Amino acid sequence: MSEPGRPSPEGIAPVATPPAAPGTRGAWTPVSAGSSPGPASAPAASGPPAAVELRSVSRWYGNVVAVNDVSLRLDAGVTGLLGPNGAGKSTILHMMSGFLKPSAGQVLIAGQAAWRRPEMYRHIGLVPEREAVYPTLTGYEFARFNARLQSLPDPDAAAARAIATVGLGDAQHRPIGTYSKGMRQRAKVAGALVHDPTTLLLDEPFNGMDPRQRLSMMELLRRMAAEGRTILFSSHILEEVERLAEEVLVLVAGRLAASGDFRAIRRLMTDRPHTFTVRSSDDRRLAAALMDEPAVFGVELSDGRLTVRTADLERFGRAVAGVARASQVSLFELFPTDDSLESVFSYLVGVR
Amino acid sequence: MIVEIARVTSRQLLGRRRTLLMGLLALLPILLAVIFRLGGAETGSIVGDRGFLEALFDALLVTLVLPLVALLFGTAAFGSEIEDGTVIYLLAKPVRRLTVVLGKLLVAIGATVVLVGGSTLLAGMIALLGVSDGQYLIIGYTVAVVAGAIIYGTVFVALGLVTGRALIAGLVYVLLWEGLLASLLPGIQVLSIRQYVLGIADAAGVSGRIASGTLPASSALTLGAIVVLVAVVIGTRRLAAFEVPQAD
Repeated sequence: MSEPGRPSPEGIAPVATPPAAPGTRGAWTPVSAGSSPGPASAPAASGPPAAVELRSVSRWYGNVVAVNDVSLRLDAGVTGLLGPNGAGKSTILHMMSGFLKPSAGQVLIAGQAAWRRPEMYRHIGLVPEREAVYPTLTGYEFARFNARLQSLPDPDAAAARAIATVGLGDAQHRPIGTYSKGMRQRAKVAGALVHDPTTLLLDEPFNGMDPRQRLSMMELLRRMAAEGRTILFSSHILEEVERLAEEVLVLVAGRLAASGDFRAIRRLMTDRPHTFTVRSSDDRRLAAALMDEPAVFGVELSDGRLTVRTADLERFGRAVAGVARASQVSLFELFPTDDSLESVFSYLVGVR
Repeated sequence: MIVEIARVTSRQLLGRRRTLLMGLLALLPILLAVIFRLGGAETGSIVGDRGFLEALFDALLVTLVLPLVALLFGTAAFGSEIEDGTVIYLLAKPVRRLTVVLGKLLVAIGATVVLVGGSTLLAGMIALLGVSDGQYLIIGYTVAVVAGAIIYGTVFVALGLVTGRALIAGLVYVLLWEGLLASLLPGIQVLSIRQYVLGIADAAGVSGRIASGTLPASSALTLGAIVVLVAVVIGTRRLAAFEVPQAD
C-alpha cells in the first residue's frame, strides 16, 4: 500500500462510508463528511453480488437510533466489527441475519434482502452472542438438527464433519448442558457451518473464552477464511480484532467511523497522544529528566502525581527506563491514563 | 422437517417439572372418579349421577384441566426458546415459517391430548363402568377434549408469539373471559372455546345430553375450525417477522 499520508483524525467525520469497489479494499477509508450515499446503489451492476452488503442502513428503536446510515460491503476474508459496547454491533449483525428489520436502507445477503427471506439462511451461518444452546441435546445431535433443517442430503455425515472441524469429537455425545463455555461456543460454530455456508456471522465469539480456547477459535476462523468464506465477527476488544481480522469496521455510536486495513487504524491509534501516570521514588526529578526526552511533549506534576504525555508510544516506552536510571530514580509504576477503548474510539472519530 | 422440529421441541418442553405438574393435574379427575366409585354414591344411571358427571367432565376436565394444560404447553412451545434466545437456531434455517409453527403445534397439542384425553378416557371409564349408554358419554367427552386440545393449543401457541406475557394473558382469558364473563353475558359465548368443546361433546355424547353447552354442535365445530385457522395464520405471520429483543 502506498503511503497516502496519515489522515488527520479530525477529518474522519462520522458519516457512512461509500462502499469501496472490491479492488480498492485494504485501503484505509477515512470517512469524509458530506459524502453522498449516491454510489451506494451502483455496485449492483458490476460482477457478482457481495456476500454481505449494507446500503444506507439505519435502525432505530422508538426515538433511539441504534444504527445510523451505515453502508458497507463484505467479501471473502475475516472482517472484524469493532466498537465499544452499545455501539450497535449486535444490531447490525441481527439485521444481517434477518432478525431485525432495517428501519431504512437495504441489507443484502448474496444480493438479496435478508429480512423475511428464510431461503437466505442457506448462504449464512449464524453464531449468536447468547450462550444458551438446547441443553438436552448432545453436540452431535445439535449439529444434526441444524443439518436436517438445512435439508442436507446426508445430515449425519454433515454433522460428523462439522463436529470434526471444530474439534469437538471427544464431547460430541455429551449433552450441551454439561459443556464449558468454550465447548459450547464450538458447538454453536459447528451448527453454523454444518451446511457449508459462504458467510459466517459471529457475535462476540470470544466472550468468556480462556486464552487457549480463544486461540483455537481464531485458528478455526482463519482456516474458514482461507477456504474463501466471508467471516464477520464483532468484538469490543482491540487485541482480538488486531490478531484475527484482515479488515476492520469501526462502529461508534451507531455510525461507521472507519473501515479498512487494520494496520492503518492501529498506527493511527498508536500515534495519537498517550497519557501516562508515573509513580517513582522522586517524581520531581524524573519529571525534569523526562522533559529532555524528545518523545515527551508534556509533563505535569499535580496532586503528587506525575502525568506524562507522549506522541510516540514506542519511543517513550524504550526511553523511560533509561531516563529513570540515568537520574537515579526508581520507577514504581507506569500506567496509561486514558487507554480505555472509548477514548481510542473517540479519538478516531475526533469527538474528544 | 416437522418431525425434526417436533422432536427437538419435545426434548426441551417435556421431561421437566412442567410435565410432572401437568401430569398431576391430569391425574385429579381419575382420582375423583375412583373415589366416586369406591364411595358407593353412584346410582348406576347417567341421569341419576348427573350431578357428579357434570362436575367431573364439565367443571373439572373441560373448564379447568384442559385449558390449563393446553395453556402451559402452548405458551411454552415458543415462550421458553424466545426467552433464552435458542429460537434463533430454529429460525436461522431455510424452512417455511408455517412448518415451524406446525412442528411446535404437534408437540403442544400432542402433549395435551395424551394427558387430558387420556385422563378423560380413564376417568370416564372408571366413573361409568357398567352404566348403560355410558360409553357414548365417554367417547363424546374424549372426542370433545381432543378437539379442545387442538383449538386451545393452537390459540395459546399463537399467543406465545404475539405477547411475551402469554401465560398471564391466557390465564385471564380462561378464568375471567370464559369462566366469569361468558357465564354472565351469554352473548359472548360464541367467542368462548369452552363453549365449542361443550358443543362438540353434546354432539358426540348422544343420550343424556349432559354437557351444558349452549352452541349447536355444527356452529361449535365451524367456529372452532375458524379459530384454529386464524391462530395458525397469525402465529405464522408473527414468526415470519420475528425480531430479536433489543439487547445492544
